Amino acid sequence: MATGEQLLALAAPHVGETYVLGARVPKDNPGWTGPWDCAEFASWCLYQASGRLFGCDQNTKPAIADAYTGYWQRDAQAAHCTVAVAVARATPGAFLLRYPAAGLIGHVAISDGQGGTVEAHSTATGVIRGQVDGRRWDVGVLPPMLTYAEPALLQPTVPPGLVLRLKQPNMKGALVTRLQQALAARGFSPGDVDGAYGPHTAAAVHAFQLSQGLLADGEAGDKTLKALGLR
Amino acid sequence: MDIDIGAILQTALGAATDAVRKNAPQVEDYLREIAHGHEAAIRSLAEALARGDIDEATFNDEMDDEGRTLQAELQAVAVVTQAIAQRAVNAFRDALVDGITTAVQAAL
Repeated sequence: MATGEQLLALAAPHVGETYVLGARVPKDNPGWTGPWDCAEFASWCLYQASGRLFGCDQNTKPAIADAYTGYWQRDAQAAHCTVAVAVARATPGAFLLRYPAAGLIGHVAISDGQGGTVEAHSTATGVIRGQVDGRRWDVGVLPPMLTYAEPALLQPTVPPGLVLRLKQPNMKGALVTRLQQALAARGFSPGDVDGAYGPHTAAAVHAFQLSQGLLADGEAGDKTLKALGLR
Repeated sequence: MDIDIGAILQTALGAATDAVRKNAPQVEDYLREIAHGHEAAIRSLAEALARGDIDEATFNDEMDDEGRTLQAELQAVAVVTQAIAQRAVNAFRDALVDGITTAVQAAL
């Protein structure tokens, strides 16, 4: 069985390749060099390492399987292979997953086991080496088709500060109002300017992020708030 | 607005170790590390609450999320049972929220 380290070694040479949201990648093509999106990159690397699909609409046809963070969430929960983010951070080839809100996309990255990532990030940056800390993750994932070494040293994660996002109940406050006003002023309608981060606001954030080449997950953290002049 | 997050975290650590006295050494050590790692994020949430950037319900909900993260990490690293991790983190989270909301209200 392939190891997490082997998956990481497969992923690393792709740093610098291009990102297109919604790109479809034939998982059985070992020569693919982009474009990628985050889930397609993660599922392609996993298929190349293990010969098995994970995180796709149907995990049977590698040539046409569609990878998505929502399917990553589904498969990780079904396989009971979620772990604490701190464990994934310390495990080479583990995955870090941000669940998608309804109607939106999340994000998935590959851990290098030392606090870094390899990930298909965004249109502006393509496939990059990033950091685990300072970003919002929901869980780590250790897919069952790989073997992972026990991490030597676990350290607590460093979470980001406030990240506005779609939750139930909706996040509310003056910053949400300012965000909605800034989006509306740039032509991205958030629906009612009511100070509640609902689906229309999340969709407007997503559209704004796409227009700027940012990671388009519909969540407003530091980078998105800065791009809107709110930080 | 000046909120002494360091002092509030210290109080919250005391509450957590009081809640799991028998297992306190391993829980306290790890929670101290967590508190250090999470201090900037907690400060950011506290300041957002103080400025009115988020309302109190949103602040509480975010602190619940922090608590879930802490509990998952505590169970993974300190190798304690779910019940112990939950008791420690609940006490930590409650003391933190009390300390921050009290400080914010006093400053208004």
